Amino acid sequence: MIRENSLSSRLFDYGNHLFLAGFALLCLLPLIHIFAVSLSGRGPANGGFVSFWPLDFTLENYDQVIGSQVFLRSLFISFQRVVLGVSLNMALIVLCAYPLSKSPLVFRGRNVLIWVFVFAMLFDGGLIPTFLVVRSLGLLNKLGALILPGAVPIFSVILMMNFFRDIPRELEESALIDGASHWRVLWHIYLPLSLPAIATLTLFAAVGHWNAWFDGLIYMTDSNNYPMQTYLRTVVVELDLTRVGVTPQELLRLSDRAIRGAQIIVATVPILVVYPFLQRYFISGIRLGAVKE
Amino acid sequence: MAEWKDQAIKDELEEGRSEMSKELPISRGAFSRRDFLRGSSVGLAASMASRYGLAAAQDASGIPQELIPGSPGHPRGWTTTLPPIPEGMPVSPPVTISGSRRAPWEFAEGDNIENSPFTRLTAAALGINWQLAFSWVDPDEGLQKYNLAVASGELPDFMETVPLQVYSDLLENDLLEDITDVYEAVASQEWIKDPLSFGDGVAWRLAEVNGRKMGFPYIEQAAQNDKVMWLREDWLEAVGMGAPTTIDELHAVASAFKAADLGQGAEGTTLGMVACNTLDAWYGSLDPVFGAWGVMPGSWTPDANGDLEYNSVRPEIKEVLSVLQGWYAEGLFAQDFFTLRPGQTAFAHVGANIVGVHFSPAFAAVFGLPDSVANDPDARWTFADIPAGPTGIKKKSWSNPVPDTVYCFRKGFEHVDLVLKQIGWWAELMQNPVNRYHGWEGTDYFWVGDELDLNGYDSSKHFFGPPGTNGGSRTDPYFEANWIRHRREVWANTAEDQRDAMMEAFLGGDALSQLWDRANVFAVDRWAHDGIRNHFTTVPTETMKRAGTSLDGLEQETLFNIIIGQEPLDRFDSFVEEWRSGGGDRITGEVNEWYHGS
Repeated sequence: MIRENSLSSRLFDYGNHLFLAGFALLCLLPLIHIFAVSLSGRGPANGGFVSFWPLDFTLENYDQVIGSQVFLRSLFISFQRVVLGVSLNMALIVLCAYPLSKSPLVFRGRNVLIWVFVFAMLFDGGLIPTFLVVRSLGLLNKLGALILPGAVPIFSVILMMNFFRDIPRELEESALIDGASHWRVLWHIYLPLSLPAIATLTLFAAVGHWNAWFDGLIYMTDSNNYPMQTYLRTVVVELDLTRVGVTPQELLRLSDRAIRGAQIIVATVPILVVYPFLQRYFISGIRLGAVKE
Repeated sequence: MAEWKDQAIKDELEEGRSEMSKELPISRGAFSRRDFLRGSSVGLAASMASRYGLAAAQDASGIPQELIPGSPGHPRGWTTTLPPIPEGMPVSPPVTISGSRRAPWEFAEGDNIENSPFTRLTAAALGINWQLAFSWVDPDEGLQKYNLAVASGELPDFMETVPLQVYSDLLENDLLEDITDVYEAVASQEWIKDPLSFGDGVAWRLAEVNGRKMGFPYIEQAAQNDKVMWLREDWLEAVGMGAPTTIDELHAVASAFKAADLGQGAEGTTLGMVACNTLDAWYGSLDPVFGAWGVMPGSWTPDANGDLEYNSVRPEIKEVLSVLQGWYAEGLFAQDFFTLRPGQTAFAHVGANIVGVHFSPAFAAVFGLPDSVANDPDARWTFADIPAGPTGIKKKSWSNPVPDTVYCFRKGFEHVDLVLKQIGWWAELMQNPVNRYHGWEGTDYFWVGDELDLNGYDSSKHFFGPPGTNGGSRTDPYFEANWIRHRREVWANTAEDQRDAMMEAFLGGDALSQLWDRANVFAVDRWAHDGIRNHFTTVPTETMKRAGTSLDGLEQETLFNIIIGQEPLDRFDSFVEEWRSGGGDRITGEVNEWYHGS
């Protein structure tokens, strides 16, 4: 790469780095604060004495969080949801995007279908009708209620479709000439070439599933079946004794900043861990030079 | 002989109860303290057992021993006495009832909400099986789920803490069962009807509509949010002062604390007192200061003519504001106190040890104070009665134990009687301390050798309907206070070698929870007398719905601006004018129309 070495340009680079580093720090600091709080004793945490370094260091908060049945159950439900949900999402995204990426000459009716998809992306049935459908399918309180209603993320399908369309048609044609079927073309040509897109969409889907709380709220009539984020939301709500049936004992549970900190950290870490594994697929330009035009 | 003795004790008990209930509503429904003290524990228990024919009932019911709470087998255990099973129960074949519940809850290994110690005993003793229709945690979630249930036309048989909006929808659409007649016929006089008649029937303020009972009241504990004055004992000693008894002394003590800069924070950060963004707040409140002039912002109280009057516009408010304005100018409050939510003051002020006096409920002993002690092990807290005003008035905000919610029964539900009988039976078991109900081994408590570990799962959260459920809805607002009294008077007077492990665990509890108990009983004793009660207890009137928000905003803004000195004291007079002409007079008219109508 060619670098400009003039003073002003270097100054700009430094300034830019400084700005970006500061900005990154700004995003990171709240998390570090919560982390410090989660490792602090109850007193200093609630008294607001903790900033970025734990006071009265203790692991008891984590012990309590990890020992709590409700928390662990919800964590497990979220894991199941992410694994099954993301697999289903990705399978359906690819299977929808591949035919839709063909030209209308090959796949007649494609344009109509695209509009159906776009329509469904822009308009939905509304909360109560959707709830009624899910209920009459017998999905209430089942994992299916969290996975099936959003099994086809249409926006991702369109992204994937556009990515497929960017892949030179010559690659596909050469395979077809050699006698490959569409399954083989999809599996051996399109998918390996689309790893960056697949990694991105997988991350989208995983983060989406991990962070979703509202569907858990309405489809899980039994709060024991809440996924992680729905459960967390009930823990980190604003405390207010004027709400119905909030007792001092419950307020105590809700007010423990240290425990809440530990819960937030435990809930954040898994999705942070996923990222580096996907990162190595974020390399584009892999098909550079595959086709001479 | 036994017959005769029983009769004598029974007469005495009843006499004692009616005598007590005249002066002290506290003992209504429970046995008076005097009786507990008089009967030696063994003698009384035996006579009580035969009085109720308990032995017979238990044998007849054939409830398996492992379903019964208590630890009779343990050398340091105790026996829980089950009340007699209501007639015709357990019903056979058993009946299944669906109910909605507010979570969260935790269970011993293998149990769940439909199969817990509570459901097993209820099934065995009463023949009722409970089925969970839906559950929620946060009140907004509850609203969401009730709306879905109404929209999809599948209401549970028994609905817990129905939000007010949903309740009025259900009433309007005639979806609720009228329980008046069943209630009259089967509800237990002693454990439901009597305790629910406290405070001129305020328990029924929502559940009763046009004289018909359309639901069962949800009630909290007496004086739950009533304030006491919390004081740093060590600070009082440091400045050589006693607990203030008047507003002037309060001012002197707070100023002395601030001047001596006793707080734990950086130099000069000590505050005189706690205030927050609500004048009549649930924590760190100023309501006793307003009460010292006999007014309560935001409340409606009867005036000399018996009409309800909005307190925030009464002239006494101006006097209080002038006092508070002075205090703020002296720096007794945090400069930005009006931005803090009530609960935040518990941490930012009390827990951080920068104040030595605040008005908070009895449960401050376990909310805020533990943080204070954790941050400064030398901190010693005590409580005292609220101070009196210049004319000797001593009042505070009265915490209404009836929140904006009701238990409801689905229209057409056939077993209202069974639910009411269940409530009565459990209320008797739980609310009468003599029965020694402390939950189940393995759920509520664990044995560690001869000692008890009380850090179990609260089984009362597993109940469908009162006297359990989340939030501790009992049928008696004096439940908690009765129990504390019982522990402090009967248990504490039991010879030490006679005490079982449960008595020991409670009597030997840590200092702060003992303080909580004492402050709780202290507040309950003053509940009826010292409280300024908001007499407007129904849904907002028409004008309130339209103009209420802007009037409230005007009030908030004006009062706080005067306190912090941004507007002169005389601004209050023009505020009163604005309030009246901006809809306040209309609201007053509507409120009084309702008040005199009801």
